[in-house]
Amino acid sequence: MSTADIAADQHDDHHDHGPAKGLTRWIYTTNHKDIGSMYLWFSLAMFLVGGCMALVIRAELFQPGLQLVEPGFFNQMTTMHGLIMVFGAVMPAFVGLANWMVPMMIGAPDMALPRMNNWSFWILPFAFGMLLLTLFMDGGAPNFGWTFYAPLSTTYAPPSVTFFIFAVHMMGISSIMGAINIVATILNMRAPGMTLMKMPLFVWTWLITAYLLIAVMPVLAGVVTMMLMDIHFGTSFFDAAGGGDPVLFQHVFWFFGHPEVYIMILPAFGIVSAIIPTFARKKLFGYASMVYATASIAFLSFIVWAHHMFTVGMPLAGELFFMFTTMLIAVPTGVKVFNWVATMWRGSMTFETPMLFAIAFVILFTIGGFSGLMLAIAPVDFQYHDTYFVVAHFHYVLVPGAIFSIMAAVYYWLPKWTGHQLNEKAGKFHFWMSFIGVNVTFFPMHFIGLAGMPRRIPDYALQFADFNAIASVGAFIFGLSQLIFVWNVIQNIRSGKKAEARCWEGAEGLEWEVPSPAPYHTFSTPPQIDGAK
Amino acid sequence: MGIKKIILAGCLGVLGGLSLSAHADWEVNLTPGVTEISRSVYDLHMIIFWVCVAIAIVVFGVMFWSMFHHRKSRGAKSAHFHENTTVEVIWTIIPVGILVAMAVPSAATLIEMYDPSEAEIDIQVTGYQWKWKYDYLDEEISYFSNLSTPRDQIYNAENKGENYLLEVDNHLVVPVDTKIRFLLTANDVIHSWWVPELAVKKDAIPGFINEAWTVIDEPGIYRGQCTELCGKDHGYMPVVVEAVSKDEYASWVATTKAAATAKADLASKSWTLDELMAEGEQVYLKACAACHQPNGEGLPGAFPALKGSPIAVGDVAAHIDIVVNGKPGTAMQAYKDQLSAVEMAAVITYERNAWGNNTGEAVTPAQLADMQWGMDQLMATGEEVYLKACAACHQPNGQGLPGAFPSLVGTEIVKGDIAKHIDIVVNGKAGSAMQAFKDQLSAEEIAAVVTYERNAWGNDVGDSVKPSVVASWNGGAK
Repeated sequence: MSTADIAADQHDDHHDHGPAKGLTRWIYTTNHKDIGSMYLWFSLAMFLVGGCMALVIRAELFQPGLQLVEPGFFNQMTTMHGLIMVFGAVMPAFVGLANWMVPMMIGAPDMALPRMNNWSFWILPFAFGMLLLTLFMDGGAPNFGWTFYAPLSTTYAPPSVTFFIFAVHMMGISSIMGAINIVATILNMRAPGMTLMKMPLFVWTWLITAYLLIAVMPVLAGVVTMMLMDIHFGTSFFDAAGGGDPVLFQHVFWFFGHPEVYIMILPAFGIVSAIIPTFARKKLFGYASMVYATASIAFLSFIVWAHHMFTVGMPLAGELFFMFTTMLIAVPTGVKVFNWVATMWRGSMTFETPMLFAIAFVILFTIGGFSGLMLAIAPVDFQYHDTYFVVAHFHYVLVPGAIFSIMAAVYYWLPKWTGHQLNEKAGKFHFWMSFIGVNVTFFPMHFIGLAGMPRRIPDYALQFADFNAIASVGAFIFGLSQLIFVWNVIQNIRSGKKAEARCWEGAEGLEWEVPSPAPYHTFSTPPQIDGAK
Repeated sequence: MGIKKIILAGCLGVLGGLSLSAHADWEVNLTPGVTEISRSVYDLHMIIFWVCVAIAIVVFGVMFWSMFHHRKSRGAKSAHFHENTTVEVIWTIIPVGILVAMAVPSAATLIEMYDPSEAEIDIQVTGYQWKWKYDYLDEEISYFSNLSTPRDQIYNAENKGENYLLEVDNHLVVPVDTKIRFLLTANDVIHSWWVPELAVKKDAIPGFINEAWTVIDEPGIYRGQCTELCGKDHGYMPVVVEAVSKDEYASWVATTKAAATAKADLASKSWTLDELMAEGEQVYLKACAACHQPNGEGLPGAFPALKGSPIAVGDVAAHIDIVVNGKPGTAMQAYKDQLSAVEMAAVITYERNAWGNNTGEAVTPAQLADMQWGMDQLMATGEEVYLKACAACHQPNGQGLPGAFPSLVGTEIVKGDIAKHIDIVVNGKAGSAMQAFKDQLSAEEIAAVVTYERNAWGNDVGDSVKPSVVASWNGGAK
């Protein structure tokens, strides 16, 4: 792709539009780069908080018996860890990346709805502040798991459940507004000549993700509102004694929950589809089939939800339907993996930090996909369901999946954001420690799950002891190695060799046409796309 | 299996060097189990596992080959090919084929699991926070199964036993080679009943009944756990199934029934405060301490303290009521279905005298039984009993049939001395059609019907009879 006169447009006209000074810059900002940065910092903070909770869990599970925490607090930790990682770490990180990169990738000057963008972000610290403060309430924080099944989360919940519901509402509002903003930006603000089928895959995957968000976040809001009504206003949606059904909760929750899973992975597909061609110095093998595969996965995500509920006692026809549709997801997912491998094939590869994370993503996400395929087989799922096998599965797709892709993205675009070249030594050290840590933590969980250890228990029978000890050691390796990441990012902001506009040799796309660091305002006049992509 | 061992050894080697505690088991795979279904589940699991391994070897093999050979440092120049419809169709079709091949046996096993044919034994499994209750529907056997691992083992004060956290006071005893149907439900939140060796895992959902079944091939003890997060002690409600031969099962049924009768007799024994305290402590630790804590101090904000609480040192009736009937909308369960009158009396006595509560009050089993029988309850039950046992002669309106069966409206027997009234119902009236109901009705039923007769049809005497009074009547009632 060649673009005309971009660098020339970047200055002169706008030198008086730099950021405001001090704290008000961050409170009032409508700049997509500022907001993107805030999302990413917020996500990092939540990642560390949620990570500490994971370490409490793993420390307690290091040995059988109760050593550090009581079962009630243990349940609060598992619940808060899940909620914070899903809604506070992974989702805001992707929104932050979208804020930073989508306008620059499509040649737009900013997001379509900049004030709403500011509000979308600023809701989050309050939502999570409130959620975290429930830890200090009488009765403690939510303790019913991040899936909050009724009636454990209604009739039998601690008083903090009401604050939890309010926090979820706030997160939902934030996500929906963020998603609307991304859709509006992508559909209306592309540079002339940037047709839909010329958009970078990261933009495509985010467009589809945004539609998923708009479709399912209201469903989540609905289900927590039904809980609120059951708890405070005498309804019986989830109470059989009043004519309701606890299983209704699970259907509604997972109708949100399964697309939510793809909300957390589709943008990762986009990131990896940007990084692998760069470092293989070769075009992505099948751009169109990647787009169609993403759309197929998004469509299928709406008709597979009950595979999370194979043991609730569905009729045979329901079990068969959800088993078959779930297995089908393997097809478009396979297409993606094959595409990445075909892109690497006969490329000219180098292995800088972003590429290492991207390759680890492909391998480890695929392992998570295999265990997902195993879980799809309903009769066998009766054995896997709610065991550590499931914990291993979804951590494989979320940690070396979603989280690794976010780290790859940060390392990939960091020079663009800060104007400094990456410290490859620290980056590679971080990668290898994370890679080892993740596998030592989560691989043994397959074994203890198959051997019969249920999830969400603070204490376990002796035959699970050895692998649990190993997993705990791995968790601390993984957790501590994130400090290298934090150090590396901060160092990169403060100093480092000057990065060029196109700081990776094989990188393509509009974001590499603007200088590094990217000026506060980019593409105030749209670039020309000449169609020679 | 050789390859698997090698892969496994490789994994362990990577993780190795770690010398770990002595109870090493290193169990890495699903159990094949002891039923036909569990074996086909295991086979499916192994097939899909090896399919995944094969795909992984191909895909990762290509990837690693490429990563090794097509690197810039080895002078690789990037090719320019992209988009190839033939290749893309092939790598879409092949996975579809593999999936269809997987779907067929999976569906077959699933259909087998849903076999609706009649079972020989029906057992209702009810999940409670945090224990299981088993009702043998054809045998009138019913009991709770609680974790039996001592607290000291959990808190590392003593060495953990072999079946740490997987042991219970009462096993679920079932015969082998018999189709057993489980009817699963729950009393409070959703639980899930899982025994890996049987490949049975089904959610127990309050207000609904789920079904599962099994036919066990080999006698043995099979251990599982609750697998749905059900609150604080979710990790402490194991399932233990003991499969025995059909003969042993028959004799187990007989002895269990006899033991249940013996236990019922305890209710009529007279209990001293010390006996109640001793029994009460056992019951408390089993049924109450999980929430209210062994020291009675509760968990602030979640579970109230009993030490010095208005319930435990205040009105005894209110105390009995909350234990018997629970407190709706809270985690406080109704214990009337879980504990016997003796156990409830003992635990209430214990709570009223332990931890410095020292009220000195003893609640007897009889008192407790009476507490459950308020006036409304007596009248409601009394009407049912009357219509069943008395109305044929005395007529539903109590007016009898003149000359044959005396009227009970406003007559001496129902308005006068209550002792005579009780006596005639319990022991009958020799030489008349009035039977001795002590052999036909329970003490509760007699108490209820006498109360009903004294207050229905405008008799309005206003007094009532407690079951304990009837139970100790001369000659006694059943």
